Amino acid sequence: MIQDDELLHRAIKPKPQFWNTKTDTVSSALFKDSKGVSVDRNSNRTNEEIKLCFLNDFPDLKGEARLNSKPCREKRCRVIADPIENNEHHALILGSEKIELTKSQAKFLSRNCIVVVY
Amino acid sequence: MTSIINYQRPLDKINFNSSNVTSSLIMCAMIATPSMPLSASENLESLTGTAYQAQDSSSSVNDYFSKQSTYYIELLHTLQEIQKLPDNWNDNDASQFSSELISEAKAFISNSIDIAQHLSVFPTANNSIQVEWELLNGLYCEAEIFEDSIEIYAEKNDEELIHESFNNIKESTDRFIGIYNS
Repeated sequence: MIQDDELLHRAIKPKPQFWNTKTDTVSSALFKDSKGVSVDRNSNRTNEEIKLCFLNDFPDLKGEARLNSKPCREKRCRVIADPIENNEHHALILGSEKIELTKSQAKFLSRNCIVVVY
Repeated sequence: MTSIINYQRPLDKINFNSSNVTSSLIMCAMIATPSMPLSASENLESLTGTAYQAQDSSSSVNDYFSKQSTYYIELLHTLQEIQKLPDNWNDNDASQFSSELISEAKAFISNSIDIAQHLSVFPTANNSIQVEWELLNGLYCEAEIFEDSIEIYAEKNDEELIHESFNNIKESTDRFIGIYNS
């Protein structure tokens, strides 16, 4: 069970570009995935540990989007642990009924995440 | 060094009069070929050059005109980058984008050239291409372009205003621009 106050981290790769340079915000397209939005749980790790972990998997990573589980659930997204091979911290953000988020949910997450540039 | 970015700079709104709308439609017809996908070797600089050569340099409408076409070319360039994305581009099994979808997105952008300066285009792992704009007043609109439909979604201050599905590019772009001008 992922607690409401646990931070979630979504890797942002250099390509494709999800940063909207006209509004200086991240696009909701970052949170649209028919297989679920793949994130890593914080799992009481430091930000530096998470960054190193991401960079180990994706050396050219550009940054990450951080958001809390609570606002995701308040927007009726499901946040579930999904440990996979080589990543016990892996989790998914899913829509309330379908796997993919609604447009409203994706936009909400893009408005409420904090983008950290590496 | 890590920096945190959590600010927003929404856009100013510009209303379009009939003269520049007409001009940009003409320009749209001159430089866009919506039925054809962008080829990997398509030379965007030459497209820009064609656009500039077609102008009457004495008119302020043409200043507007060249500005819009420059933004339009940038959007085409982004679309070209999207077209190059391989299978599994998101490391989560997302598919490569089909030439049909790229053509549809190109047609949508061409029809929306009047507001090209406010548009941004992104791929999604829903096998769709997203075109979006956002205004200073918090009004946000996106078009999610799929192979068989186009979904227009608008919201203001997190409140959903419009969510409609279209099977016709002209109708969807009319709606997309209509929301902008509303």
